[in-house]
Amino acid sequence: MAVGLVLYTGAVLMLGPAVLRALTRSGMSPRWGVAAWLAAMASVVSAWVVISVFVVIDEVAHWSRGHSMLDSCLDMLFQLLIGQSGQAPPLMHTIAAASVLAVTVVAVSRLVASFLRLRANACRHAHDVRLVGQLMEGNVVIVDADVCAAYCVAGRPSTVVVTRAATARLTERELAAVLAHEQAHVRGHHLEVSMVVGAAARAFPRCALMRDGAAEVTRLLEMCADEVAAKRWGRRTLLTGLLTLTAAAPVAALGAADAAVLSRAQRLALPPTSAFQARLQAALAAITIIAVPSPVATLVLAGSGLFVCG
Amino acid sequence: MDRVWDHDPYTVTVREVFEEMAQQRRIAYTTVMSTMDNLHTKGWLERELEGRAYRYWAVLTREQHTARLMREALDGGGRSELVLNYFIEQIGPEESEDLRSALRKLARRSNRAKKR
Repeated sequence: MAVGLVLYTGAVLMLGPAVLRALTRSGMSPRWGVAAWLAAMASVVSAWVVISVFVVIDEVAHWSRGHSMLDSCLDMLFQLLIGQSGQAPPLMHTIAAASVLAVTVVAVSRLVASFLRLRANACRHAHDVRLVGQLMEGNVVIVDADVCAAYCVAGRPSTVVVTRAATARLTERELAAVLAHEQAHVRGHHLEVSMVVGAAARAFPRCALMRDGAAEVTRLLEMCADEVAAKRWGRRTLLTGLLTLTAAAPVAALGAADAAVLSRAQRLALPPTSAFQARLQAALAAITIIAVPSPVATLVLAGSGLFVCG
Repeated sequence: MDRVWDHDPYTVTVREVFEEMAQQRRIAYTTVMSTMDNLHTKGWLERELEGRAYRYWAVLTREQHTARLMREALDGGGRSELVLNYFIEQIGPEESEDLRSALRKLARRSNRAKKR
């Protein structure tokens, strides 16, 4: 069981980023895109937790009789390294199990610490912005800054920030559309999701799935918010608002926009065909549905196995 | 902070702020006192003892804080998960110029499509 899960994890870690990137590149069905990425990332993390719990329980269960799965692995390894048949000393079994547990604990605590730090920074920023700016209705703060920008930040409560320069540049409708976009982020809890994936990327910087996942999920969340705002204010209004903000920002500050802005603009300007969208949606949904329950299902199966054989 | 920044001269006591605020809404003196104390702890206000009360003043101007906050929220350098910006952080100035021209082309295309 655990071996299967390890293989699954390996497959997702190696193939996941490429497959998911290809599917979500166009940004159609952004909601499913987000779901698929989150499912993949979460399933890898939970799979690892399940594996380590399983290894430890297995080790403990076979304590006196000494032939858990980990023991067999270690024996094989020992044979390969030392070149003679024999068993690895029992102490090594204990150390191995303890290390697996330790790695998991460290990984999870890094993830949690990373998330808490991000959230603390965001809350402080939200609080500071309220002190400095003018609070309007709907948790919107207008800040007297020359740079043209609109953003939202998590806090207690989450706040939408827009600069006076931006309000001057945008028409009334464009401003409403941009604010609707930011409000969509706040209402849809995108900020929290973004912080979770951001924390994962920071906690596991060398893991492509987490790094790419964070970038893609934030990009897709922008598309989700675009959809909500466009429904109310129209694609054109939102598009011209985006272009105005992008054009008005000084080059250095813009060193910000990337292909995501272009694909968003494309998506707004030239909406997709429904047939393609339906197929894409189906593919992403399939991934999500498979990825999510896998670790849990394996745990259930393994648990029942332990009961039967143990 | 509005009260402190807008106050002339630029130092205030808790009582002065309280009296100003009480004119506009119901607020307790202790609330004002603890808020200002809080702001002092967070580094927004400095204070010195004058007789039996503290006299407060702002450490930085509103503009300085604003600049700092905008830098924090908008500066690309290293990914910022702090905010969800209307445009996302990441590339350099040369690429952004390409992006701008691509967006201009797109705007023209979209305009033409609309007119048809």
